[in-house]
Amino acid sequence: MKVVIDRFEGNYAVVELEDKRVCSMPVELLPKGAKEGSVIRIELDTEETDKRKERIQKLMDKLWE
Amino acid sequence: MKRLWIVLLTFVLLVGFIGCSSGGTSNIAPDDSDGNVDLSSPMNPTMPEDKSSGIPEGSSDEMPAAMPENEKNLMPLEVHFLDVEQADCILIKTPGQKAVLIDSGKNTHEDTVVSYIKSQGIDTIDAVVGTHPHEDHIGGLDAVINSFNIGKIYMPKVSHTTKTFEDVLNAIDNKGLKVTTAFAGTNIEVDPDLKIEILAPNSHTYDEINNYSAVVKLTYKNTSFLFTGDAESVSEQEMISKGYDLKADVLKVGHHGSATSTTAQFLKKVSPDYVVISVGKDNRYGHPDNLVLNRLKTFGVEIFRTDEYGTVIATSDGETIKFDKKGDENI
Repeated sequence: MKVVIDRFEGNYAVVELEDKRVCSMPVELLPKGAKEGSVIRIELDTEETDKRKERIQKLMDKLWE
Repeated sequence: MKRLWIVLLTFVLLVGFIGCSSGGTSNIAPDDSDGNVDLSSPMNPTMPEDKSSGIPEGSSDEMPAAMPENEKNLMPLEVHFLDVEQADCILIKTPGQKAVLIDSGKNTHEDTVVSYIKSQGIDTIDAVVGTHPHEDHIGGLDAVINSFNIGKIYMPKVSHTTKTFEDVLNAIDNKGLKVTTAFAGTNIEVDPDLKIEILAPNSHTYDEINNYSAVVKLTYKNTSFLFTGDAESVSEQEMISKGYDLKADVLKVGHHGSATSTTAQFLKKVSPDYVVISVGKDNRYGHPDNLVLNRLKTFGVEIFRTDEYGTVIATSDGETIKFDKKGDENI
């Protein structure tokens, strides 16, 4: 999914979704260098997801009785 | 022979009078250059002809010819600040029955905005101003352009990458219209009774899109309105530096009451009696900012907020301005 930064309002970036709806996104979520008009691609990071699953599962296996 | 000429001349004159009187009383004569002046005067010697052909017996002399003028003078200027939540949309109805729209709410407001304008009996918007390409100002503009006859479109020459902006440009293009650049010094001429001037932007490039906002001053006789879009302190400072006459009775507070705008210096120059803040209830951006509200209170102005009153309608007869806070019943 791609969103476009329409404007900034305080600590929020107001982004336009592909169907023209807008929503507010805390600026902390923005990639570095994002400005008004920047297009942000939001996508799954499956590799990182799998890594985390594995790591947490190991911890759980250790801790659960 | 001489007698025949007199008869002919009398006939020509008679036909002439009848032609004039029908033109004068119907009030749709296109060539009103000097003919109307003569006909509207009750002292005019052609009036008896008028009377016999057009005016029902018993009517007073001044009734039909004077009515259209009186009616026109009785029409006040109306400025409707539509309740479009956290967005801007201002509809101006002029004494000469022209319509001007400044911004059009968000994408989600397009049906509301279109039906509100239609409910006002408007099918032609003579001038449309898109103050700047943010979605909360131009979101409904494509629908407006598609729904009404449009005169001229004014927008600052600044680009944006949203689909919202692209859709507005496509709507303009599909209708075969062009855009007039909104820049300081441009006059919007729709009604000779009014002066509508653009006071900002004053530069060609800014860091923030907000500062490209077209700032519009509307003057009707002794009353005036200033609509600032989302212009921030940078633009406010430029307008002050340029020495423009910023004094206005009513100020549409910039950027929904955000602290980025309405600096004390600017407020002092505008010196309004009334301000309107177009703002959404419980918006997450903290608009209007307490700093701005306190500043406005210090200046002793009367504040109308669309989140509290709904649509706010100001009417001016050219001398005094009245506010109707029950406008939301219309929306």
